[in-house]
Amino acid sequence: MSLSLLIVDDSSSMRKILKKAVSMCGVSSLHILEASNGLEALEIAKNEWVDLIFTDINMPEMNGLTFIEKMHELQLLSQTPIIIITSEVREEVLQQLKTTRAYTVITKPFRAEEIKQTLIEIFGEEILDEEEDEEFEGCDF
Amino acid sequence: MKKKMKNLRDVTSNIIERMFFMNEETIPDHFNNTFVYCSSINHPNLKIELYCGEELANILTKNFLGIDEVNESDILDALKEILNMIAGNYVGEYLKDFPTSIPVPNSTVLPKNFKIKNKYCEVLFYESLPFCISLKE
Repeated sequence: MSLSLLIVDDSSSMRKILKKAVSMCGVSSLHILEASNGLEALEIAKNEWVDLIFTDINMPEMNGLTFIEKMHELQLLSQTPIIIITSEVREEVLQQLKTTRAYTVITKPFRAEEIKQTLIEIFGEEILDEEEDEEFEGCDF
Repeated sequence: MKKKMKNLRDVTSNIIERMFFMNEETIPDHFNNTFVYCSSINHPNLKIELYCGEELANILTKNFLGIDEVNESDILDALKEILNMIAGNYVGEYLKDFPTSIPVPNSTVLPKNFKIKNKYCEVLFYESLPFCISLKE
């Protein structure tokens, strides 16, 4: 199974780290797209096939929450799972974020294992390459 | 303020340990205290600055991004992201009534011979190099 992921973050460092974390999950075929804000991401999502989106919240041009709302207004894209990646750890803020239509919220720093488990939860174990057995126990980003 | 500084130091130490598997070291006999990079949050309710020299900034950025070669833009971006995580965790643990979302940090190259003037700062050591975190009232 081939997965097409869109990473939305204004920080190029965070985009690189997420790419690295996702690449370590052992997904057999992976296509990663990048956007530096919600507006760019929306354009990409309208024009390219995207299976899953990771998005930051605080971004210029269009923030993550507006991006999630816009995605859900578009019938064809409303079912695409969106994962929020945030440095917020306040419980009430996390609860608010969970009330958005995002699939889940992952806080920074995160473990590569959290990303892998989320991918398996959404797509099942069949996305993993059977021969791939990358060790990322304890690998934080 | 001393208590706040200790809390910030603890959060910083914890984040660096979790992200980079680097443990705080004791103060070395000799060290270079020239700070080259600064990342800062300047919000009315939260003013934090993070300082480090070129060598430590390179080590942290390479480690953070998992690559062997980094440029100044990578370093500035990585330091912003490190401060973002420190601020997020500090606010989450100690400033639960913080009125807004975590402010976005800025980062910059410091002028030559820069000296830190803020008295509320803590210096942590990694690879015998100083990493300074400061809090302003």
